[in-house]
Amino acid sequence: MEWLRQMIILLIANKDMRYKFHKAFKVNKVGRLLLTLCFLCFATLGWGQGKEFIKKNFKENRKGFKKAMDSIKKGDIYYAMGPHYYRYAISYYISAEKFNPDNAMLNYKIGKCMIYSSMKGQASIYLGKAIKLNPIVANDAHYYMGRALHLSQHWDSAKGEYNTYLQSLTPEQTEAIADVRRKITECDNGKALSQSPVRVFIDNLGMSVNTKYPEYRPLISADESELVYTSRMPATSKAKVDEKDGETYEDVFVSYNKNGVWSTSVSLGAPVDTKSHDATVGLSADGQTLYIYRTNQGGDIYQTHFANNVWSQPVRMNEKINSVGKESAITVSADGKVFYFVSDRAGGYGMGDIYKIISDGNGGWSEPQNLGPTINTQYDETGVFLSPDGNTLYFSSTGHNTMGGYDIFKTTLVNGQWSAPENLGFPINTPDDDVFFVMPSNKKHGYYSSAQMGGNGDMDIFMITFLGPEKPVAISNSPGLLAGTANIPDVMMSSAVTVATGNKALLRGIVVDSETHKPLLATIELTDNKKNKVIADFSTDSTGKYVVSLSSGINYGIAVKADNYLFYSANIDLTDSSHYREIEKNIALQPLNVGSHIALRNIFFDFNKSTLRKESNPELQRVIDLLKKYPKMTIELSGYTDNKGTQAYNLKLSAARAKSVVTYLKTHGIDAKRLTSKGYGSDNPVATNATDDGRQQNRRTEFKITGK
Amino acid sequence: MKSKTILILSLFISASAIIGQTKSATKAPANKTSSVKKSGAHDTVKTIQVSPDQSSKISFNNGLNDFAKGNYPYALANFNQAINGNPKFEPAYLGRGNTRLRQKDYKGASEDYSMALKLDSNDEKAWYGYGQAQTSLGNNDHAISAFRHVVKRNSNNGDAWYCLGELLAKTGNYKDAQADFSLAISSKASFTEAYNDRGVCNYELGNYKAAADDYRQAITFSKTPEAYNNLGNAEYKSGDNDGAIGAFTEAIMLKPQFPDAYNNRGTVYLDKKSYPDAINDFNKAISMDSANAYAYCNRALVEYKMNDYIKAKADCDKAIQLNPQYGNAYLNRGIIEEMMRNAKDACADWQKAALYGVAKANDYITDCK
Repeated sequence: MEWLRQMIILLIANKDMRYKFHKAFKVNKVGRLLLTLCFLCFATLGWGQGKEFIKKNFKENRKGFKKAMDSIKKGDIYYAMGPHYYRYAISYYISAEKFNPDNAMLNYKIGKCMIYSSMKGQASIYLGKAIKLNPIVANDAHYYMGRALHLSQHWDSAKGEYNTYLQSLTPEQTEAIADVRRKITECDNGKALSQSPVRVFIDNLGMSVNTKYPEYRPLISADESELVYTSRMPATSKAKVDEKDGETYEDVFVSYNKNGVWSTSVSLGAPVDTKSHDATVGLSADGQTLYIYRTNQGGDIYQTHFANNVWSQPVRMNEKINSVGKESAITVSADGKVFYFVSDRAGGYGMGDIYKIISDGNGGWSEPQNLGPTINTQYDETGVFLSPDGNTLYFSSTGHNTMGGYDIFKTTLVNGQWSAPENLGFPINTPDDDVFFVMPSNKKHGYYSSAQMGGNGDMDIFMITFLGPEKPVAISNSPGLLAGTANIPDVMMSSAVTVATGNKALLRGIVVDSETHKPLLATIELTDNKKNKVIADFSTDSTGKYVVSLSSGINYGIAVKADNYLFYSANIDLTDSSHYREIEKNIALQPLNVGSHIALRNIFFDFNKSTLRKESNPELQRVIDLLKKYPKMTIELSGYTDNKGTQAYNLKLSAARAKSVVTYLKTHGIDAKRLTSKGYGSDNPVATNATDDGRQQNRRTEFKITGK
Repeated sequence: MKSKTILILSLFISASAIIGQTKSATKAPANKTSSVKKSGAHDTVKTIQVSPDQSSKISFNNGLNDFAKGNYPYALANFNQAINGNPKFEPAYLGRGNTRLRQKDYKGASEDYSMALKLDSNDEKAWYGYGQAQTSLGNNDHAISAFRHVVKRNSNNGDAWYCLGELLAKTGNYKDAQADFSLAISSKASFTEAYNDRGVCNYELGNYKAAADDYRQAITFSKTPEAYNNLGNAEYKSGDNDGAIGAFTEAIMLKPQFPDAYNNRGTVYLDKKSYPDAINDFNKAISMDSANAYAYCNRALVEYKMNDYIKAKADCDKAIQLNPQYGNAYLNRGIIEEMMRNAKDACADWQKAALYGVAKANDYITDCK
């Protein structure tokens, strides 16, 4: 059965399917009606209205049931009075819904009523539930679901619901089809406009102006200090209600801006306000003439002047402005000569149209001129307002590319022609009514009335703060990075200069105590070993340093001597040197302590023999002088070789060489008891034997103090 | 005194500057001393006398040797000795100036270069050194003048042209700097730095495509993250957002800790409305450089675009805290303040932005009247 019911629902809901069904079974018009009735009965058998409000369903709570039924009945009274009264039905329906939340029809009614109230944001919840409980709860359920979603700016969802509803309409329902198609277009407009919101702040003027009653038609003084508007708020306790909509008759109120805060509004009272409708429609640039609407003769415009601190008795404007139709809005240029007003008089493009009329200032008036189809549409135009500079006309319309209800548009005067109207955009305009726009002379703000959500109830007055085009922000890129001079030469250096020094060597160094490393004042004796002659002797400076230039071609013996230190012996052979060079010789003199020893670098022997060569004499003389200076000193003379040859041979040779030195010393007056000698062969090398230089170092005669 | 030749032994005692440095004793500059102790009669060896001029030259050469090895104190001592030995020895002043430059004694270096130029006003090297010293002292005008002397004497000195370009670019004279970098490139075809910096000049002059070409050329010689970063900026300004992102990404791959590249890539994402990517990059830039005012300011813009004005303002506050003269941050904070309905604060910020050179702030201030 379920599948059959689903099929039937589809048939009822979908026009195309229904058409195909009728065509397939060749059903005539009467048959179609009967079939639809049968289907409806069948389809609703399963659901009814969800949980029906019938006694048997609430046996356990008869009292509650009775109360809920009473609420529904009260709600139904308002419901039956039409949309203006729907808002009064809501609280009754909600009360019943709390008792039985699962009744489709009740949910439908709640949702539908909410659409016409300040609770429109919640309407889709109830309508959605109603449709879920019973997809055919009402023929127009999807239409209202579309409205609810539309008003909540769910553009695509709303279109879906509208389209569903559209499918359920027959071609004969032309008005409904046109209406729902218009709504679909409005959704498209809304979607497009809301994707490029305008930069504004929109502020509700607050409780001092807006009440739970409708407030609308604001008029603002040029200096923005005074707001005159229309409210359905009861001005007095005796205020009468207009039975047509259940609201108090319109009255004119005023509020003053004190340091950005609007004062609690007050009614202008008599003679502006009467027992009937008195609504604001326009204000002169100087704020001294107020135009009001009264319902007389189909709705006419009156003017009142402020003089001596009171408003004069309103006077109906001339016949060229006021017709048998309804004149509902007016605006006047700064010079008071050009008027634009709204009238639904015959000859227009449909509903309210905007007209222009010119005053000669002396009671003469031009013929009213319809602004034409660029501005006026088959829909309603109203709420006309001329900007302080006279170049822009603002108005409200349910035509053009409205996103729903009245939207505010502007048109500018270009070469005497009004341009195509431009929607002021979202969020100024909403899917609900946004109407009666005005602005002070500074153009920073705009004031208008709107039924948008978030108000204090019904229509409220809002202030727009225009932020202008979006201010470009400043993006900060890290600046370009110069490569810098890190890889660029910082200096350009000269080349080395040539020093004409001839063939020589520069010998330099420092003489220090071998133990304390303190500089020593020492004597340096320079000997030409070949000629066996002292060339020069000189001293270090107080810091122990010395530098001396040596000619090439000479084998130098260098002896460094200081009191109470063993002399130091070095050999510098420049015999074959032919280029300039610098030689560093740091010398550590050893104190005359037992165990101190030095190498006698200027003692020379014949090759592979122990025969002393005469170049050794200066060095041997230094040893003799030392031993003579310190007569108690005993010494050992040691001979060393390199590692060439056998160790036995080297031991023998080294011993013989040491002994030769001892013999020389003895023959020069040194007591033999003070002298010992020993050959060590290649033992105790002081340098590597792998190189010529190393082996040269290792071939040596050493002198060691053994007693003193 | 039987000698046929008077034996003179030149004994040189090291300079006092070296005392106390055992090693330095080996480097003692030559200096003639009076403490020579002549021997008695010795007539067979002819010794050599070192003249003051020779001594200066020896010291100078030693100074060069020490300079080349980076032993600047020794080099300085040697050049000192060279100058003491010959106060008109121009290369020694140049050498000492160069040494002092390396020791960051720019004033002393300048004095030496000046002395060298007094002795030889055509010394290209001394002009070059003087230019470097003046650059380091921040005397850009003197430095520019010095480098102009260099190129006047040697128009093929690409390094001097480059230094000139650098100085001019730093002073905002991008047009002349661009020309100098071109001359640097003329004298050294693969002058990476000159290509890069000419690119910077072209960028600043609004020639974004030419700048991109220069950066690409620099990259062909040396793939540096900085050049890629610059290329990204140029491509971004040329409207090639994808190319810019690619270049910044290359820069980041070459140098993962490169907050500027992250910041710059973030700005492209911001422009492309890729807000999560932008936020991610700005976050990274900030995590690498918590003092990166640019990244804070740009992150604020993403937050602003996402209507998170509280966070946006906080980031602008931080950017301004880091750089109290950051005009763009004031401008942006003003915009955010406006959206937060703080018109007074917005106007105050725009006033500050204008004060710090952001021209468009003046347009915004008109809204405050």
